[in-house]
Amino acid sequence: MGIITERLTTKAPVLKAGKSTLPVNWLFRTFEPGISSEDSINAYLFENRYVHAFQRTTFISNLLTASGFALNFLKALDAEKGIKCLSVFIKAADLRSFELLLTVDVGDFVSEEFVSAYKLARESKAAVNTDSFNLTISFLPNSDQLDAEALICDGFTWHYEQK
Amino acid sequence: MQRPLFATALRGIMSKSEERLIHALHNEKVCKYLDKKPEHSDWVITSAFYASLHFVSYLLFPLKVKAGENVTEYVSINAYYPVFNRTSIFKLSLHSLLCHLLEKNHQEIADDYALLLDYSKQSRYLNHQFDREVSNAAKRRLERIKEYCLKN
Repeated sequence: MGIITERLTTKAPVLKAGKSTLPVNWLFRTFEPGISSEDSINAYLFENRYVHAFQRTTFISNLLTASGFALNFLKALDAEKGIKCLSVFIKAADLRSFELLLTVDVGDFVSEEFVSAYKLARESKAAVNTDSFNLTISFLPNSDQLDAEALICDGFTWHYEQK
Repeated sequence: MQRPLFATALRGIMSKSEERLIHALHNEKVCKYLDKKPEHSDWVITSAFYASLHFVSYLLFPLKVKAGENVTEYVSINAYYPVFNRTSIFKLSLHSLLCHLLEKNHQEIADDYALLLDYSKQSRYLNHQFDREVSNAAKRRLERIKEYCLKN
């Protein structure tokens, strides 16, 4: 079974929390045909079918915060450190914990100066993390060998590619 | 498999801390051995990370944690991990907890360690194909972490 990609656009906002939607150019990826990002969220949340609607709102709101943070972090990384991030993957570990995985050029990844990206990540996430929201940031060198299946398998189903 | 008699005897007289240091030095030695051939870059990175894991454990533990008026000493990450996850709102993996403790107590090497963890962790997403320059960068990070841990 190949990877199925759903492009999220403002014309078809599949995620809603209040008036917000995931920004354009985020992709949802799955192996399962006929599964939309909306279905995935339902499946994720409704493993316990009596889950309270509040949890759904909390999850979507946190996912939006994570994706919004990711895009701002990309800009800051470029502006402050001159490091261009090529794409971002998001994994929801639970309702309140999210992992961002950012791909960068391998030259940046191995350079001595790249430690400054980790410093910026540490400071940025400290500013956004609260008692009810937790974000972690990791980096990955961009490569032809990037295994999309392994990423999806590990839960990195949300994908943003820098245009 | 039976542990060699000498190693068993050593374990009896060594402290947990000394054991960690010996484990770190052992992994570093393995890293240098694997580095002799360029096709082992992924394992050079993995062994560099596991050497650094034991160096930072040697640095961090025993760890004194204050809770109210009480101070509890934890001898190892294994002893502290279940307590942290029981008392914290967020559940962390063992690796993330070590990163968290370094960020809190030793920022000087926290970013080098996080980078080395990423080098090692992301191997799965790259089909274990790493350039020599990544493994060389990993060795440099390990060297810095080792130097800091032995000095402090």
